Amino acid sequence: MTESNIVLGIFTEGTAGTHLSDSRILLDAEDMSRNWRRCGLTADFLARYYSYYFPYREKATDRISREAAENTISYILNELIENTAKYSDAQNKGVEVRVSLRETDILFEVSNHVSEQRAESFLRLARGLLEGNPEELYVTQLEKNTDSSGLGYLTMINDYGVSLGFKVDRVGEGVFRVTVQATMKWKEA
Amino acid sequence: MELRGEDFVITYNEPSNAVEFFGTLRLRDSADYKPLTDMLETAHRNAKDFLTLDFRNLQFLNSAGINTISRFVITARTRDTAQLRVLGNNEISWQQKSLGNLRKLWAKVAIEIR
Repeated sequence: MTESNIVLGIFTEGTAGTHLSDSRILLDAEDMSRNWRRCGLTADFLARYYSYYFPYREKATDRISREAAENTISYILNELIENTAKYSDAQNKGVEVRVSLRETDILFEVSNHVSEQRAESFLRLARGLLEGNPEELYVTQLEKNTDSSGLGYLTMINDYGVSLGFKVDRVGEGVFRVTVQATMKWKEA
Repeated sequence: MELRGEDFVITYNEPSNAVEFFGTLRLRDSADYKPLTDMLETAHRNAKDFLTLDFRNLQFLNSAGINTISRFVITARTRDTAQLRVLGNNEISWQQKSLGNLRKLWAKVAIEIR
């Protein structure tokens, strides 16, 4: 892999712009891999935490409701966190999960460290997702009968209206930091 | 027949040809979902006319689980014996958003989301 810093899709650098709330949690990929339920637990915690920003269904006219926010945030974060638990480098197990609530959308970000081989297959997957037709990809991936990690991303795009961004940085010999961002509108334009 | 995990229960009711899901189902990969795949395929082999998949009490299903259910729909389509009837709950986001995708794999799947 010759490239050392690659950004694909819709990606926001830093904490630019105004946000209503910004949270980060640092976790250990091995902990989550050892007890898989920690992925869902983390997703559920942040989903409940951020759901309090949203009104109950009866009052949610121009935005998503509290119930839908909690469900949706939990689904998206769980998918992102599961990927970090599955694919992290054995020597660099740190995972950062970030949620940033902004004026009209909510940004979910996870980053972890992976091997060079994993970084390459991740970039292939990301390019395929961004260049292809997500509706068609969804069906073709399923017809292939594989444990495809792309399915989680495809459900986010197709079913939750999420935009994805990917960043890969070389941080050492054969070690790459992978960052995935998923942005979802919560307020009607 | 029943599958039980720390956060979920899945029951196969043979007389009524129904598989019912309860709780939160977020297993790691297809190897961990293999018992469910086996249960669904057994239920489909035993069913004559139709098999019901009742998700109304399943709060969460991760993409590995969606993959498992989708793969089963393709198996059932290939076999083309008993048809599938899918029950969903409109107040649970993943069901309202993602259950309809099963029809993209097999147009004969009947989906009722209420």
